[in-house]
Amino acid sequence: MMRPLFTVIDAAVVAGLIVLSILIPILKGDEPPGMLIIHEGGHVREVELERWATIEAEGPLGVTRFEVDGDGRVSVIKAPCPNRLCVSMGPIAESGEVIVCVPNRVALEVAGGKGGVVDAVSR
Amino acid sequence: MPYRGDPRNLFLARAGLFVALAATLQAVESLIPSPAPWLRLGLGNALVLAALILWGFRGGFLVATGKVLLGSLIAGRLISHLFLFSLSGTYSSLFMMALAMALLPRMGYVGLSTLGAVAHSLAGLAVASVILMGPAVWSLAVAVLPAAVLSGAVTGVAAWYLVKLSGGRVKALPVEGEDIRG
Repeated sequence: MMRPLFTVIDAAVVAGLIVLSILIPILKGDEPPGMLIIHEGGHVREVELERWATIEAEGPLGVTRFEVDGDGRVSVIKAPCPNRLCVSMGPIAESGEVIVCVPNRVALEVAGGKGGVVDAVSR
Repeated sequence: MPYRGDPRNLFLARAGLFVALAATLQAVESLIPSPAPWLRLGLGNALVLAALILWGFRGGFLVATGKVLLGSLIAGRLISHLFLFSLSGTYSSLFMMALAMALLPRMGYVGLSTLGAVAHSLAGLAVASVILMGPAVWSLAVAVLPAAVLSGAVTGVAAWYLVKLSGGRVKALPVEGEDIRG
């Protein structure tokens, strides 16, 4: 018996796979809130990126103040360092992004939550 | 004139032809520029499906193994992490198609090939999530799976045409249901 090219079963399978590929992202649902890893001096602490907050980190030069907005974006709003690169680095939100203030020995890193940032894909 | 010698020689020659075709198609496809690494037609899998249908699991396994080893060797990715993608994808696709053939005798080429292509892509995502980027790659599934369904359907038609040709017009091709054990 020659196997057919396309039957009702095939149509069902193809339709099912298309529906599945649409359903996967919907069923995945809400991601857990991301975490913000704060390095200050030698210490490391973590806070959840759930709601609006202003957080301060101590460094040798003074206090670095940063803000978490309701959407999980983190930005430095006040820094004691001379050129304020950390302030101009703008908000970070996605897993793997970092803001570093070298003079004040403070680093902020987002982990988890919204998908990772892929710089490049090599093949 | 039909071949009257040892049928094992016939199988060897035909399976060799299939392996050569599959490996060449895989290698050539990997040279074609593509906007994304997972966006490929996968015509080499048409040969694996045709071998599965003509010779059963043994033949399919042989062609799949030959395809992945030789194809990766020609394309220069045998000793690289890319080889893991070919290897896992090809075998997942082979097992998925063999399973579907056994469970659903009335399923056609398009359905089998589509299932195989989706298994290939899911294996690729699984490998990528382990060795490259972590679970974030699963969000790519939205784009990867529809592409796999489409390329699987095209590949299925190609496999169907290949087996159709093997009815006699192309003498080098095997005939459906022929005994390969000899």
